Amino acid sequence: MKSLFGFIVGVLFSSVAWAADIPVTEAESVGLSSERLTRLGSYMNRQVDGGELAGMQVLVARQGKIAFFESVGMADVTAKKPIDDQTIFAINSMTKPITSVVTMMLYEQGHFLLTDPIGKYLLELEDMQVYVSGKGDEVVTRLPSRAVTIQDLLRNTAGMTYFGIGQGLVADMYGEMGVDWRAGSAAQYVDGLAKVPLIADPGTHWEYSGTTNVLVRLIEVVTDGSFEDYLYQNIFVPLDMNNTAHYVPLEKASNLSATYEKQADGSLKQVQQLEGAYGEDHAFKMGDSGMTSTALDYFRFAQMLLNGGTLDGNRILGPRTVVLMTKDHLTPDMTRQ
Amino acid sequence: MKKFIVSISVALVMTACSAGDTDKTPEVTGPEAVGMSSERLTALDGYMQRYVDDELLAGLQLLVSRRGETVYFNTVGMAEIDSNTPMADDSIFRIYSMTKPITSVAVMMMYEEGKFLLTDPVSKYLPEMAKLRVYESGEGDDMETAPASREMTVQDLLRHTSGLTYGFMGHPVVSQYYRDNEIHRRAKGPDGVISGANSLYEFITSLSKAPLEVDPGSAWVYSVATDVLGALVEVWSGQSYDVFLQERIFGPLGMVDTGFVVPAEKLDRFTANYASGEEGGLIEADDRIDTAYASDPGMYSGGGGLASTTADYLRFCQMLLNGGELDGVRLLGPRTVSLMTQDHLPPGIDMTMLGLGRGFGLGFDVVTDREQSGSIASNGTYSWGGAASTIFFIDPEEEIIMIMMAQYMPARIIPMRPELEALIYQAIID
Repeated sequence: MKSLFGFIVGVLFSSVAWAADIPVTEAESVGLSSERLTRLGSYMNRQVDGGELAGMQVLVARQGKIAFFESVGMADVTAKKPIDDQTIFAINSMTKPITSVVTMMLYEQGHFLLTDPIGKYLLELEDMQVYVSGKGDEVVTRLPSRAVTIQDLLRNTAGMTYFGIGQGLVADMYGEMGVDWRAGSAAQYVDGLAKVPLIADPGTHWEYSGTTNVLVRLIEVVTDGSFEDYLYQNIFVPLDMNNTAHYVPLEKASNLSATYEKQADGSLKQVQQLEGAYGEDHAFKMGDSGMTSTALDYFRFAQMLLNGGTLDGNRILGPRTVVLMTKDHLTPDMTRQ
Repeated sequence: MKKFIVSISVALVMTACSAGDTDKTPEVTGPEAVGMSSERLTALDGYMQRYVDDELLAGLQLLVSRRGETVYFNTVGMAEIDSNTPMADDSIFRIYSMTKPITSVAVMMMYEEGKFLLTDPVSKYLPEMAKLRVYESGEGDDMETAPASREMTVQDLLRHTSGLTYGFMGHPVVSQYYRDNEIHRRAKGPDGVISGANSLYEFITSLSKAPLEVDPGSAWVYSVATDVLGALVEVWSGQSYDVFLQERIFGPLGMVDTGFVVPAEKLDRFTANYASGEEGGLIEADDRIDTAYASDPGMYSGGGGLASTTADYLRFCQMLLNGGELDGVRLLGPRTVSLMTQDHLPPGIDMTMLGLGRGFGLGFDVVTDREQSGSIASNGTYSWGGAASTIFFIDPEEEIIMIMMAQYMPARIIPMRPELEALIYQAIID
């Protein structure tokens, strides 16, 4: 890859070179210095050589053109498989922006208002309570000051939390009730969530949470279909994101990168990500995690957003909707976790 | 030029329109010429039809304009269900509180002539309004009041911080006082009995005896304040309010179908008003022909008395968006329009009637924080609506005007305004 830059610079009137289907443009043609971009390569090498990561890949684009795309290290250390242009990654919470875009596509079609209570569409969540004290059978709750809105779900101010990330008894309840990736479906996730109290009044507290799974259920209800189908037909096909999905098909399974965890002794150990989550048989197609993708696919999603909602003539969102999504929706009086 | 006339419901319209009337149908420009997608605007077709199919409205009309060009104009449903009269492109509607922005413009025209200051006490021009008292406790003969901490100003009237209220909403005791003393324009109540003031003078006389709901300047309370402003325009101009509007606003702007009375020769274009039946569906609340709008109301209500058309109200809105001028006729200076469309509420006073992120200017609500409003219209968008489900907004940043006309009470403005915003702003493509 590194020699590629020298090659491009030497070719007049040709700003694009093709390397395994990834078009990389001469950095200088989009106002970047190819020489100074080599620092990114050095940084990546330091991360891998220093044992922080088994491998990594970086893509930088400017003005719609990919100016830097490099891979360093291993996708699978045991199998001695390097990261390359074909590598598929578990993108975990980078699933959330995709779910949010789908939500806003339905907002644009007039299916709901951001200020609508979620209970208007998901009756299970109509009567959510706020945790006050106690545990087990002794839990005391109260009415919230207002209902959870769709805007709350998008900006993480619903008063919901995460098992394993959030702290306290309510977060533990999420674990006990299986309100996480173990739920059998978005409907089951919402059913479980309805039995757990909120940690704070809606709109008063920012806390990272699985609210995008609630949005998946909303998407299913208003489209009267599956989240997976909606994604495929309205995002992945129009944006040509051929390697993005909730599971990795068998013929591409060898492209999926392993995931590693740093051990106390500094070594990297391969870990299982969300057990079974990337198999076709994992029924719950989640909105907060669970997708796999490639750098090029995610670049196309990101470029669509940067273009104000459109890519190659396929409009996913209106430009004002993208502007609305990318403003700060929090207020200074909200507490943050 | 890719100009064409929309004919959505024109095929159905067999009502007697004179040849001159058809000229008033807004002409629709190719939306792409002004940065909007005609394909994405079609989402509005289904939205409008749903409101009629679900019997939420008998009919509705929607106009969207950008950069001075009408990009969407559609009419669906009925002007009157019983008589099988379709709503027409030139139908005339009760615009109720959409009268208020017009009165506010009239007031600011007088301001520009130096007739008063915004900070002037109202009693300087209407002496009856001096030394008003504020409600404290009790009711009827046991009602306790206290002197107001300061006099209400003209600015208070324009931004609804006067302490006045309405007979159909607001504090239960004070609004009951308004009802008992008929502090409203002449109207037929649910019991069929006609009550109310016969003139602005009569109205001001009874109002000046009523307790204020709150101290002037202490809270935003929707009220009859704009009716008082109409009376003030009479004082400042020396003209009857209806004459002032006709000579100074409707005539110059070419608002040919706007007034307090729908004249006999235009009554066939008037639209019935509806309410919900006890078992759902729509029931007629005011006839299309046998209506109080057919005769002089006596009290010219600057807060809610006008009837108008989409085409006329578009000319009024375009004048505002242009900074006070339309087709060479200047009603206001651009700085005055700018002053009117800023948030005038003092710190600590919320305008929560329409939700968060809103303030109030001199006659309009103003989006002050789009993200907290939970909708998509730009900061600075100003608007108001009428009690029979009419709405308009003007977004100076996007140069968009939206006018929706329907006739249904109580107003369906609260969900429809943000619903329409979503469908209009998603169609912007530049």
